[in-house]
Amino acid sequence: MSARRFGMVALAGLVGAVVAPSAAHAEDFVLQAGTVVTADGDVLVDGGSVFVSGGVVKEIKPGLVNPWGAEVRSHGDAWLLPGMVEAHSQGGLERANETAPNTPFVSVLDGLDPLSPYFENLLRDGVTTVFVVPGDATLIGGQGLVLKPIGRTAEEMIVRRGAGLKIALSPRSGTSRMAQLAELRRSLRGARTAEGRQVVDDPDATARSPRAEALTALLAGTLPAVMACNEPVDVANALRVMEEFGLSGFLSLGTAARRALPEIAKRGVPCVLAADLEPVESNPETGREVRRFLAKECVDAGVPLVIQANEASPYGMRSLWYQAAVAVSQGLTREQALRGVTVNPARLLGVDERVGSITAGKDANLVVWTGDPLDPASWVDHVYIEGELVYERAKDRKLKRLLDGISLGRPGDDD
Amino acid sequence: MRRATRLVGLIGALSCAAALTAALTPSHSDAAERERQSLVFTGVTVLDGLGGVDEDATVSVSDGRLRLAPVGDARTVDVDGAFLAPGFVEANGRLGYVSQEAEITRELTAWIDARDLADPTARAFREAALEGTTTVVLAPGPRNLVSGLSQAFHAWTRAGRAEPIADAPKSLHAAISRSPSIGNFPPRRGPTTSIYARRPTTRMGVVWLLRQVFLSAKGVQKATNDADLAPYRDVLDGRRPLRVDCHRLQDVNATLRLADEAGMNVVLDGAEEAYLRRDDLAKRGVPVVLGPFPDVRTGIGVDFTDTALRNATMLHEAGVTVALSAGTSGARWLREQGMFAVRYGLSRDDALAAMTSVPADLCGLTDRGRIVDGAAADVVLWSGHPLLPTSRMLMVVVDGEVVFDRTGFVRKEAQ
Amino acid sequence: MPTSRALAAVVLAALVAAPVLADDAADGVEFVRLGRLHVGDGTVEHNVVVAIDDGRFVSVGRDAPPAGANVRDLSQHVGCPGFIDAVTQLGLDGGAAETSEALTPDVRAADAFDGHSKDLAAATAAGTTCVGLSPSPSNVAAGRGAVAVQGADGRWELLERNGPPVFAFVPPALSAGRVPSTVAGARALLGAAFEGRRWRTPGESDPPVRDAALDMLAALRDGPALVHADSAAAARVAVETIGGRGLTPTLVGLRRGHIDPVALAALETPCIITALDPEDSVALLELPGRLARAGVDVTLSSGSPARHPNSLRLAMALAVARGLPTSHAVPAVTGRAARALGVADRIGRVAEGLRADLVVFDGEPWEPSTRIVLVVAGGRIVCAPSETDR
Repeated sequence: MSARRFGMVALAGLVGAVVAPSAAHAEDFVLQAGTVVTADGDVLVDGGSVFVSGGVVKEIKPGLVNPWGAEVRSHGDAWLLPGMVEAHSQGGLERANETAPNTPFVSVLDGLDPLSPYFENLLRDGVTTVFVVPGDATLIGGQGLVLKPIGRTAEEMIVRRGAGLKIALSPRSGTSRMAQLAELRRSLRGARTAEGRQVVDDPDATARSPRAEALTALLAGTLPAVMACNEPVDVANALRVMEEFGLSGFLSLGTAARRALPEIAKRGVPCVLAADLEPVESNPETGREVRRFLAKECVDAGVPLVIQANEASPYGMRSLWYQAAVAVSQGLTREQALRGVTVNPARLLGVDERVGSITAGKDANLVVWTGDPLDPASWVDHVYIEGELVYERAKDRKLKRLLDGISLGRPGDDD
Repeated sequence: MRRATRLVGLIGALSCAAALTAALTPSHSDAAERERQSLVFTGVTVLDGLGGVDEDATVSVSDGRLRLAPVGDARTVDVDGAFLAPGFVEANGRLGYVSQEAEITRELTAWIDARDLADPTARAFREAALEGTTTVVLAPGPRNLVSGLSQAFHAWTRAGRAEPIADAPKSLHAAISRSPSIGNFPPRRGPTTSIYARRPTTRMGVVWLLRQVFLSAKGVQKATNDADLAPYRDVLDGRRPLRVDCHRLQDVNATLRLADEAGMNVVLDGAEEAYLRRDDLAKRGVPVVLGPFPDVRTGIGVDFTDTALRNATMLHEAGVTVALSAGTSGARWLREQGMFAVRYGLSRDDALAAMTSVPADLCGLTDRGRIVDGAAADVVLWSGHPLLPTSRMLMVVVDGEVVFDRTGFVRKEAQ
Repeated sequence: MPTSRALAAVVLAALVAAPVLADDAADGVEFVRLGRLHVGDGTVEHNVVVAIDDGRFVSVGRDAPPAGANVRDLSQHVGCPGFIDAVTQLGLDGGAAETSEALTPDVRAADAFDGHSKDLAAATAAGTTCVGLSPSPSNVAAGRGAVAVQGADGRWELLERNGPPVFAFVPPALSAGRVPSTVAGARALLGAAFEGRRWRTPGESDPPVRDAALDMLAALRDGPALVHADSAAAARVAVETIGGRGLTPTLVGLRRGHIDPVALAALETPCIITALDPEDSVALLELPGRLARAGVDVTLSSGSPARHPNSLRLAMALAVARGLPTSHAVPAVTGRAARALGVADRIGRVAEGLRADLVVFDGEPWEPSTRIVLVVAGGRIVCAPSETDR
């Protein structure tokens, strides 16, 4: 009974609108829109033209102009923005963590499902870069990748390998915070010793253990640490461990860790805010409840704002555009909020050379919106990744099915 | 023994504490008398909840009523660019119960009053008011064939609780869906403590039992206990609306069939597949209370329904009276329901009406959910249009009383 | 706990041998002179002489006792009626929860009473000379309570077999697997039962309610009733249901009452707040004071079977520390408790004709540092910690 319905939805869910990238080089073209928000400081309200060549943005000019003589793709009243950057996600993974507590050698590369609806939904929401990383359920969870949400294999999707190693500082069930920290230090010290020995004993060794390899990269600073901190004490511990071992990287915060924002600002370590931007805290003694506005607190503390999507919301997911709108409702400027889902996460992930804004020299990751992206009435109409048109709403059959439901008629009439 | 030792120690400690606490005893504000300060909102954009917009209007609140002119001796509220809208009316409130959402140990509990199911101090009510919902019509949940009578509440008051709205009409709630029969097994002889020893056990049985009780109430069938049939007679005589929780098209069909047989008027709750019969519903004048949205990623709704995200839009365009509700997800999400209804095609004004005057009328609260002269003073001041996620609540007035006031923060930020 | 019970038993053994206050051979009347006396109704008398005869108070006044009379001079001390712990399961043997049916008004706490209970002996040493025994709130109509007192011979005995009926509008009586499962359902089930009928609508199956239970509930028309409720919301329904029947309800439990004390006070119904503990939130500890100042009769009770009898005095101390006016403190554990149990005509105050239960302290009873000097029950000394014990 349920199978018939589920089957129908699944069928309709088959990728229709997602255009497979062609192997050929992207041609040169000019993208024109009524409003262009570069997220790099410019908002062109009287129209803007972006010249794309070889999958890269070459030049941006105000007005609907074409001095380059290239093919013009015009979107009269639409808004053009850089593709948004999701800074922290477990999307596309069947399970977010191994059951063993210390698995630096696993990588999301081996667990990623490129056909997961998660990735096509990112396109529908104007997200063109995503950091997929293991979850917070174990001490060292494994390595994450920065990806573009298009491709048939994980390798095709990669924007940056070795983008981060997840380390969770809050005690997993059955252990204490002290034991968690001790184990982390033991692992890191062990890797440091092994590293030294290897250099001394056998400089030509090629067969190193995968465990040591990941931790060695971490200690060498080539693999950033992604420190998951639920409580303020975890933030303090994370900062201490990063200093002790000379780690680079960033923090991923739980809602309670907001109280450590001033400390984070002082140390200048980047961080991703909790998914719930408006948590309610209650005083156990008085029962009084206070709602906290995390985006506002973050900006007030002087920490660069990085927002992630909230997948726990009642309607499936609150995507980045919605989260940015919530940040504006908390009193941020639109520019601050948009940077929190574009350039700031790109910088945090170390991919700001390539993505995060419409800037000459960066990848042509461009999203055409029907209007203001912070207004729910606006839709993502076209998505370009590296100059390739990868999504067109007009051809999105799954979306049409979601919007219009089924029609009554004879079998097969649906189409 | 350990406890006894602790007690002795505590008694000792208390003797010192007792002297101190005399000074520490807090000042209590038990005064239940609620001050009703007059307010004048000037220079606001008024959305009247009936579809009208008036820019740069003046609205006063005096003695619990709205006046469309200034009143003397009042606090003036003047925030640049603010919108004043009626408080939202949640027509199918489904949170804030003391424990269970229905008395599920019986099949037909028409004598259950949602007032007795409610915990007026529940956090869900406060959260609803914080998101602009000033009226919650609490319904008994649809686990029974007939689950009882609704109760309208002021969502939150200064006393720190929801307050029942005196003399608000109550509707009778029934369910024609899968939920009243899930898990039931036929009652056997002899006493049993299992709550599932009840009828019905099939979807057919659901309609069969409802038919039985309404035809008994009508006098067509012999009744055993006349007194218990009064609530059903109220429905048959048109003194009370019958709200029917139904999801699939087959449930909608069965509901209309039963309504014809018994000669009664019904309102549909949930109604995910109602769009498939929109012309019939329009012709018969059957209103629907939609919501909450399904998972917007999969489109699968309650009871594995084939939902259409444009359900509200299609019904509205066909001429059906549509109210929006956040139902089981909690009245605090009603505002988001409205935003997404706009995303899926309803105009802002129609969406707002579907959250204010339309549900108010359906629930017999004809002086609420609108900003007209003399209406009850349930209004919310927003920093922008209430159906934009970038807007924030600035002030909530419930029944003439300022329940939340954030205008102070705005002024502080402006400085 | 077993150790403390054994200890209490030793103490009790010593006490039973303690001298009677009034020598039976003498002509009966015994006099106690007290520096201060909390009568139990909120009033205080100074320099008062209490006369006891045949287990009862025969006079309370300023007049000097006749020459040669047997006078015990405690004029440096403070007396009050023996404490009454209104809702307990102390001395109920074999469990107090009868969960097989929703309506068990015919279950009687008196039937499980054990007068030799070590817990009760410990209660005596803590100044409690009377307890209200209750079936636990596992059923909507849980049964009938009973009232037990410390007897003059050292054993506890029943004062009232037919105590108040006990109703429950709380879990576990109301929970997902029970009939009924909600406060609203409890109102409906009881409301119907009071009229001698079952819930019945065409098409419905029969709920499990026995005729005997219906008869018994239908016969309840007046008198006190104890009604378990936790929040103000549940309390409102409970009061409307039980009060609507003509019974005089007293609310019991109310450990979530502090969330909305105003709504609770608005019910104008006496309240027994149970099991106050130092670990409770300040708001809950403030509840007795807030209710008292709003004009509600507040009683305190230790509340549950596992609690040490000392916790009644602790509760009083906590409530006073958090705003309960001292004029309400002693009535909260004496006179008002007696009223809630329907035995105010026999115990609960130091007044002529009432049972001679008296506790004497070396300071105010709500001060945690004061000590018990003497416990008198039924006119006899049942506990007198000697000076050397101090």
